[in-house]
Amino acid sequence: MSHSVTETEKLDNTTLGFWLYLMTDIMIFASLFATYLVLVNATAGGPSASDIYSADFALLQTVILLTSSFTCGVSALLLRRGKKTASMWLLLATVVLGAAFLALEVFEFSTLVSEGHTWQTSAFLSAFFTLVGTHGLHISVGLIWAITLLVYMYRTRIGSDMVRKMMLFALFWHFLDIIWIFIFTIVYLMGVAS
Amino acid sequence: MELLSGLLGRMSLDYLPTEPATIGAAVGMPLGALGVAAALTYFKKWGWLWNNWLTSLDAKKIGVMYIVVALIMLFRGLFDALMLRLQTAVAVNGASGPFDTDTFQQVFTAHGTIMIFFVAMGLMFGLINVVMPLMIGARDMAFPWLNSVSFWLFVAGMILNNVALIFGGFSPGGWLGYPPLTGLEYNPGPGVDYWIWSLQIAGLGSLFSGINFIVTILKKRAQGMTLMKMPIFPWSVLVTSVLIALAFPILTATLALLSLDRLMGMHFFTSDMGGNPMMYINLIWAWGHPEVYILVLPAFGIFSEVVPTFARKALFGYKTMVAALVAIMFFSFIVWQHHFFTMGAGANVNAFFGIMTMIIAIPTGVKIFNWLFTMYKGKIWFTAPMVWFLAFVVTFTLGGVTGVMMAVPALDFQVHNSLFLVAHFHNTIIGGVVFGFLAGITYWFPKVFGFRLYDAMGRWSAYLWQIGFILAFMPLYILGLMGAVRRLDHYSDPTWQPFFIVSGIGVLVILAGTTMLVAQVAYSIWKRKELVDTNGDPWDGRTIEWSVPSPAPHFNFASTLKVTQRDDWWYKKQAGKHLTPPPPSAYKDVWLPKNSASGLLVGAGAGMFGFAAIWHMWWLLVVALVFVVAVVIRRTYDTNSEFMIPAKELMQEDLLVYKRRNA
Amino acid sequence: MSRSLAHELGRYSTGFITALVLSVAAYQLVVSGWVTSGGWLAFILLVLAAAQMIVQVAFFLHLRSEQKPRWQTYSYAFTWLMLLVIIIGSIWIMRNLDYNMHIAPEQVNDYMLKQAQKGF
Repeated sequence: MSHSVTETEKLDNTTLGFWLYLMTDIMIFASLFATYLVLVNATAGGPSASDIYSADFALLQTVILLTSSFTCGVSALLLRRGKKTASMWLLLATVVLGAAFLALEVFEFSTLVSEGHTWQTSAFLSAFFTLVGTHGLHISVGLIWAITLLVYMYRTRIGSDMVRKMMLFALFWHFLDIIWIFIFTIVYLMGVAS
Repeated sequence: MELLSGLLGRMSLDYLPTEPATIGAAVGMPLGALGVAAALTYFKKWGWLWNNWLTSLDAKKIGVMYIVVALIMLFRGLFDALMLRLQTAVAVNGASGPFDTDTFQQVFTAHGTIMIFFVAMGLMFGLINVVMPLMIGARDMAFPWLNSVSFWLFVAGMILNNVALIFGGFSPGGWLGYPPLTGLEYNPGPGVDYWIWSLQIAGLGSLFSGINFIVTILKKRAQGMTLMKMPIFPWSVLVTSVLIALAFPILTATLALLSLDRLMGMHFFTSDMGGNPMMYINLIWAWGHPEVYILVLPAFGIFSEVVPTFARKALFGYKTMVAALVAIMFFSFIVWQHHFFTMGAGANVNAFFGIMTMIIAIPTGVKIFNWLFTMYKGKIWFTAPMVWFLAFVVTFTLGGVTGVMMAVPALDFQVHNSLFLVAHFHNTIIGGVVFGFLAGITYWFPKVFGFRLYDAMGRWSAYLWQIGFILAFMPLYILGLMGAVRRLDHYSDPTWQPFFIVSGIGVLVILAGTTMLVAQVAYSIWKRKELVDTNGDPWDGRTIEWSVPSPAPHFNFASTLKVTQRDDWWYKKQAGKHLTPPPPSAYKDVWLPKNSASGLLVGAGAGMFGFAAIWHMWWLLVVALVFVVAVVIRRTYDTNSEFMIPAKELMQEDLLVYKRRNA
Repeated sequence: MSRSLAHELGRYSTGFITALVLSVAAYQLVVSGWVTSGGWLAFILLVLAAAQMIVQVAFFLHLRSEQKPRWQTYSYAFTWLMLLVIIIGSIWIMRNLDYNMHIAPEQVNDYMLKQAQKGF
């Protein structure tokens, strides 16, 4: 393949493009964080932040997601070194950990709803469900992406294209962990402390 | 029956239009579309349209399609304006005027939304697509397929906006749709949802465009073109794209929150359960203020190319121009509160944002002086783009001055939400944005089509627009000071009527100017043999897009380009270097993207998704989503999406160009 | 790719462990109740979060080793600047609005007089 756009150039452009997409995503989360912070006390007689959060639960989620971020990073690292099988195992671990994280979040949401604290209860809960839920939605997209990537890796021989696809996924997954640090801190820890 | 309501969501025949003006439009629009389709069939042009345009990934063609859509929408927006002024010219005291209040509200909402999102943004993206890659020496955008997706999302948003007219009605909430009026409680119908999804989908397209433009400019410039040797238009596009990338997500989030209020009964912006409508206003303007700079900066960029070319002088103060752009990139994000000085914030907040607003006028002023100094002692050639520029200086400066007036919170309390404000922002948007883009279209038209526009008619169009503008908006300043608020459909003070009538006449004159523009294109096509651009450089231009033949080929540049300075092409011509072809080693095989229908399919899927969300047709929502995801995945794994033009072919073609140039 | 695999794995592990420590530290701080002042607690928590963000960016996202011109680093910094502007600006504006809008109508006159006495 002697494309005028060389493979490295393509990798460069795609990485920067995807990076900029992540920047736009940061601004989406910025808007949601701003909304949450403005509405956090607007409980309208419903439960307040300290009533519904558990720091232990949030820490468990944090550790799981952080670990998945680590396995994902190492997976990408190994693929760059040509170790496809090991890389796939670690990516699988990432998927399992991510799914566990998501399951915990679904559990948390369903518990809240079953207690009658839905997103219709108050502006505060609307903001909470939307902010945390948007992160969860990103995690779900990431999981689907990782699974298609696994299928692709299983079927195809290793090449620069595969490394590029893996690198983009790793960027996305690390990015989600960084967003989570702030959800952990601003929503959960500060909520418990308030 | 249950099945039917499952299939059709909340659709019912009650949503068909009942009001005569709307029925007219609702019947006229499909008939017009049908007429075009019939003509295409009769002249057997479907294949041509599909292969040469709709599926093309060539940025220049995508740009032309943007501009065509935007110009059609310009007429729709102008007719809306005409309806508004017809109403206010008549509806005084007992007279009711031709439109009822609800229709009037929908019309001003549609006017604002269409003019900003589908005219100004459309013309902007169109021009950027047409010339930005050419000006930086690139073959195409960094992501040509994403570019096509952006365009079709723009079209999908535009179609949703217009479908509202036929079925369901549009939002009555104004172009920014403030809640609680646009909340579920006061507007449960589909109108607001049409507005939300039309903007949401088009906005997503804009976001992708922004990312695409940034990467293109940062990564695909010609060899030797450092950022400080890049022409100002690409610079303005870079800054605008940064603003798009950081501001449009705020719009996406805000509209999503409003939509969650409406679809899931959340309480972000409701007036009960702790919701705070003021937060919506805060967020929407955090996007809205950068947005006005997103629109106007590329227009500034265009004038920075037009003025040096027609004054035959290098741009005065290139570095201050760049500095002004970068300053605006930062400051445009810290002035948004001036849109709601009167909402109740204290003196500290108002003073801070008022001062910031005055500061941001400085870089803009710097630019105006730079252009004027560029003209000073130049040999000015008064072509149509230059007339647009002069009209811009007068109109835009006036708009800027009234803007600084309103930056004073105390004064703003008097004129806030009045027609004074309406006149102010039309001053900046018509005088700045529209005049700029029309100048740009005239200036770069030969590069795309290979012949010039007939200049006299272009000048006449500019004169008509300028006169029409003065007639339409100067009375609004006066009315605003007399106390007339915006969005007024009926008033009782008969002394206002003459001003409203004059303003209505102004709209008619602007309409005449726009018609003149279309007539100019038609006449120029007819006379294209006389107006033909033989050497690709009809204005004796300065920047490298004039070094390629007109119409510019798909690959833009035959050989690998080397740039050594600003206005590279001009200095090459001065040194006579433009007559000797480059050595054979400068020609390399070129890979270009093949045509692809998948961008169009993504747009169609997104449009379906929006339509389903508006009418609560949940099955269609899922189908559309799966469809879009499938198209995207298929495209991602498509390895055979490019074709090659061999170096030899490029060289032969290029040698012919040099031969013509030497003759 | 001059560095050895072990070296890179070491870097990842360092980042991972540091991030873990920072998370647990923040958690402990809240649970133990050592810091009694709400304002200080919030400040320390935010500092810990920022530190963890920087650790992850450096060790996981490799922004430190980006080649020149460092567009990713610049865009990241500028995005953060704008993010802070939007969030802090929104909170400032909305707090101000809340404060001013929560006055009962009969108190407005009083309030305006007081403001006038303060002057600008």
